[in-house]
Amino acid sequence: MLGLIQRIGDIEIAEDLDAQRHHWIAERVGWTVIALVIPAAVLGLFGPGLLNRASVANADARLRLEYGHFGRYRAPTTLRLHLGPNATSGTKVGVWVDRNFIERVEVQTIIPPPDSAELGADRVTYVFRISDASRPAAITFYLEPERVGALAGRIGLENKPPLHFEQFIYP
Amino acid sequence: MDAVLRAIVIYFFLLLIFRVAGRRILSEVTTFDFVLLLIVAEATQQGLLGDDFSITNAFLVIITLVGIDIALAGLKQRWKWFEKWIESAPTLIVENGRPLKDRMDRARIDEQDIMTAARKLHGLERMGQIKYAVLERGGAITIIPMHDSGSVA
Repeated sequence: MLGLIQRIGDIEIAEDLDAQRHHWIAERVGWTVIALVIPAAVLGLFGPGLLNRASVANADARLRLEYGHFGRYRAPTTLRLHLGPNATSGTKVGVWVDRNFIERVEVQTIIPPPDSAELGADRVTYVFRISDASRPAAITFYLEPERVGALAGRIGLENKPPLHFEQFIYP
Repeated sequence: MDAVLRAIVIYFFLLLIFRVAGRRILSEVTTFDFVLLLIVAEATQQGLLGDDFSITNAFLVIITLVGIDIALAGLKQRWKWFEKWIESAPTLIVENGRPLKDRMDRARIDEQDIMTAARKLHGLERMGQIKYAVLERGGAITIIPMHDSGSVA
């Protein structure tokens, strides 16, 4: 009988060895989970770490985006956009990010700061001044995700095909 | 909504973690365990409150935590199997001076733990003087000495 006080020898005790064995098994399952979660976290399955690093580049490798597979709700994360030599011409470069993405994160800072920002129907375009377009350059977006779950984004140079990236944001 | 959800998630996460860690982990709190507990509290706090520092948020979190506690206590009262899963049942670990090795190993208790309890509670000297030792629900070890305590020897 479950949980009833029984007599074992001289002692009255609500022992239940079956349940106890199940507990012990559950305990060991729990330890295994802990033993798996810790290295997974170190490797970056829950945020920063080796397995977290990801990058996409377009065909001619003039544009490359470094991002993280996994982010956490309201924890800082970065997008780093590398512009290869001659990725653009002229003294200004327009980088656009789709609005769907930008609405799901809080943009903390952009380094270097953009000269201006333009609002489009489905995108926000940041315009940067660039001194020498024949040299590589990088732009870093410091973000904090504001939504939990899958987060897809597009980022690209004006009039060029965009880079697609996907992240997963933990609560 | 957010505050209630956070509190529920944290409550059950902590319940699970401490359940998995075993009942003895906090039954005898050493100085280090105490410090560890403070750090756990500190780590929990941010996730629990988020970045909403309003009194309302604190109220909601506290009410939710206490509410779950009351609800669980009610369920435990009603369903014994539930109580057993949340709190486990007492387990005999010494019977008539004979340590029940298998159970002790599974519960990660050694004879020293039992003798410590025996000395502390009853001033006993030997395993043979223990009639029963029970690992209680909370993780403490209780001792019932032999009636004549074998004190002749």
